[in-house]
Amino acid sequence: MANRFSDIAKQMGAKVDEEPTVETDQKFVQSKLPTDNRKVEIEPPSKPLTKNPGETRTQGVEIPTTRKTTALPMVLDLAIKEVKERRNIAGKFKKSKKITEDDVVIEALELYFNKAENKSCLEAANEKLKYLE
Amino acid sequence: MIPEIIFIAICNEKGGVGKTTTVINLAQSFSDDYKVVVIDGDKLAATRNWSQVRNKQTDFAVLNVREAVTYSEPRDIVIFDTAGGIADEEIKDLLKFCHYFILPTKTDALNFTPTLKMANNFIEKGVRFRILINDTFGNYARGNQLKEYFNGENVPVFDEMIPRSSKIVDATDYGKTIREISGARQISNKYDAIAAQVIRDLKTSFSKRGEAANGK
Repeated sequence: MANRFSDIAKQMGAKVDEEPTVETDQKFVQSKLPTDNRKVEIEPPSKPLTKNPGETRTQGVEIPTTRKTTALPMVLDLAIKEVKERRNIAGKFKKSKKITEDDVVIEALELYFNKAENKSCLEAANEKLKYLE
Repeated sequence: MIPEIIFIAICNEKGGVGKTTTVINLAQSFSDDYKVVVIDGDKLAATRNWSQVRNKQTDFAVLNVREAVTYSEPRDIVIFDTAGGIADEEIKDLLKFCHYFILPTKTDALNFTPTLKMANNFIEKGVRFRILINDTFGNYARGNQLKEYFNGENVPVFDEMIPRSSKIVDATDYGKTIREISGARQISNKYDAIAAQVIRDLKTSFSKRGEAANGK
């Protein structure tokens, strides 16, 4: 079962490498990548997500906004937009609760970090959520 | 020299990113210049079902796994359509023989995050691939934002993106390729450009390998 594709490919004339070394073409990727930066890292934000107890809610959450320097802000930016769009749609039907910017950011954080399986960051987001409550 | 028979896999661990739509329309574009065979490796048989709707009247052959084993017609390009949630073992199997991988993705975080993980994995292994941004909307704003991000991270992405369009839905509903839908020429041209970019990539990389082998 594990070889079902390669078995077919053999029948169809493919040269099958039993060891999937996939030195197929390092050059193709390398030509697009600097040698010291071949893996895209999704890094947690440099600043902690929890706030000092003395800070007020109106100060909002510090979310890095630069896009080109790290992968995370762009991803978060898109996640926040996603949540906002959904909130806007939901808001037409449900007007009972006022949604704050913090709510949107936290949901976006959960959405992203849960998917990225970055539990430590998710926990940090949960801590933030508890503080706001 | 590119291989005599080119094997291409369209895959993504995430389902619902437009793999089958990509397979059908790229196969149509490739078939202008090449003899194309599509192998439906998805147990749900979406591509086969699409082909059945039109009584298999296509410019390219669409085969299930069983038919593929006994297929004897000439072919230049073999495209593997894979299932959403494809297992790691199956990806490893595809890596044994495929010359090129296409990773379709949509533009929201739930879709592109798993795509990015796969891309990282492919980059580490030196696999020849590109990400195809599907279903972009808002006059390509979201897709352009994502493309800029991928470019910034040196993740290979196709120059062209596929827009969200009811014409694509119409095409699949009626067992057609996008080229066969009236007024969808612009989208059809994008698939042609993507197919051309695949061939360019293969020619470039195989010519470099040839030069390296010849000691140039």
